[in-house]
Amino acid sequence: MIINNKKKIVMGVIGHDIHSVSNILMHKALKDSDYDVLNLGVDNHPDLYKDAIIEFGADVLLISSLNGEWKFWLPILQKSLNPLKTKPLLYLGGNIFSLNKKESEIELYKIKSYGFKRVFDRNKNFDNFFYYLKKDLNENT
Amino acid sequence: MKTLSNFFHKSRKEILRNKYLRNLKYEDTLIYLNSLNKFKFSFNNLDFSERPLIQPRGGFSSIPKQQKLNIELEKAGADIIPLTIDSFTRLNDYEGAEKVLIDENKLNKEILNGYPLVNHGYEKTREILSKVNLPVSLRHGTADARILVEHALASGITDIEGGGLSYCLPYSRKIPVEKSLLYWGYVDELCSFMSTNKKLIMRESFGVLTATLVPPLIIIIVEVLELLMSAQKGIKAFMMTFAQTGSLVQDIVISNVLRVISKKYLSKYDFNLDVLKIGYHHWMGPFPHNFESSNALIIQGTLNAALIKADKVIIKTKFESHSIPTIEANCEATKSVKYMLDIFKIKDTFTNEEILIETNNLVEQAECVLDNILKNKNKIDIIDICDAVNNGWVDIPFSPHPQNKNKVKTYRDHYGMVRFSDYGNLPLTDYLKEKDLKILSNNKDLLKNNNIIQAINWMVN
Repeated sequence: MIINNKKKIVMGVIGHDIHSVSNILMHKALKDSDYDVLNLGVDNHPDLYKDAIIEFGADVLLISSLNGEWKFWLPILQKSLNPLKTKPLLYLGGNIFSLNKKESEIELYKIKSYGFKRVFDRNKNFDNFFYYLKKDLNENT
Repeated sequence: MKTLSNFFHKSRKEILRNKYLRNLKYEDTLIYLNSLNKFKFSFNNLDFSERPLIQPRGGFSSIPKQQKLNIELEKAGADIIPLTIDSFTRLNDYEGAEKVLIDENKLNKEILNGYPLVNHGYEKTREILSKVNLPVSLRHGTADARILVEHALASGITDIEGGGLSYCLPYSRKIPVEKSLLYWGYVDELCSFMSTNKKLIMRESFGVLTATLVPPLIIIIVEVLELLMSAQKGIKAFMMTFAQTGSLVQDIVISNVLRVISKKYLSKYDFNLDVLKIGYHHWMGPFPHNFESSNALIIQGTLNAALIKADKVIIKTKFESHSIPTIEANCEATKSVKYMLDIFKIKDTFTNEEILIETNNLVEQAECVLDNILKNKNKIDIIDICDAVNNGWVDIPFSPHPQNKNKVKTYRDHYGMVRFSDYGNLPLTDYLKEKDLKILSNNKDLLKNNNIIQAINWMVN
């Protein structure tokens, strides 16, 4: 068996969301940066992420969501991941927050309560994401 | 009365087993549609309009809110009312939608991102849609829309968006193209059955596709194939559409080519339509985050719609990058667009040498690909179209569908035009490929923009 030291990432778009563009780009960017990536693509039930984490052993789980899909599915994801002994780092990306500042603060609080470490809202590129990914995985930047 | 095919009856037997069809009788739908005022049929209004008709976007899960949206949009000057469907229904998860609706009632807040038409059912929907005196358009993204469209027609919706390719390859990963084409054949047959001489159901394709660096050639191919498939099923009113590409020249070229090629292929197969229109979507890619820029982008898209002589413009709001549009934002956008279209009138699309060269080039490419795809010259054969997808001849960048080849690669040039960097498996002759490359190299200013994220975020500042 070949053992490599590559960090493992499971990624996908949550719920009935089919927005595939950034998912495809992010997958490529992660592969180019030498991560082991399992991309579940679009339209995934939370249980599939749990199964993927058990099978693949992920260090990080990247969830993306557009048009408010996360609001319904993240609590279900939290329940689904609950039995896992070791949980991966959870990141959320997409168009996440409401325009209203107060509302968006409540949303951030909720997302963190579901176990998410970081939220990337409407980022124009992946620079910010990679900066924090490397930091959180204790990789030298 | 028109007759329905054996295929239709067999397929209907299958969906009758689904409790969400709720024993809906299509014979009753026909009677209801016939009882509607003729201005509830968009093809009528399209024929009388000098400017593009305005269609906003919008769908809420609650019935009272949806009704308020419709009434406010009518007051704001919209010409066609949208009914945008939620993502559960789009993926045929009616049971899931039902659970969410129960949660919504408990929590007294909206969770679904659109109107769950199948769950609310045609009876209630008919009631709210009868409160407006405008045609209603069904907007969704469903590869198997058979049950949804039965409910939509029974609700009095006379504009049905979608198609076996355009609502499958960009919107689905689980339904094979072969099945999607059959399901949309069912929808076409049903819409054709519901159409009478003065009351035609309008079928509308979704040439927007993934809205991400889609080359004009692919848009033309998909639009013409869906037009032909619908025409073969007896559809008499059809709208081809595409979205603002980011280049006015390319927008004009696409509309030119759609007009030329569609007529040519309809006559090749001896199909006669009563109404053939072009719809134009405001920019469908990532929108600017600030309102100043997004308002400007909406105005620019509106100007383009007028310049290409679109028959309908499907509009965005300044909130696009933030959330699904509020009622207020939608009314504001409708009013701005209406003002602009009312003061900006032109007789014909304009042209210049560049547009002529690009148009001729695209016509030649489209004919070459279509002639390769349509092997059967006597009828439109679904197998030919499945083969086209499986061969990578219909190849949509960034599609989530496993059958899509993803071999075609594109970039955005200095002027915002989407260009091929890799023709993938497209069956273009060497002569056409060389000609295409020559057009690019003739123009010294056309700097290749290699940054794909920048190219996608073209409108985000």
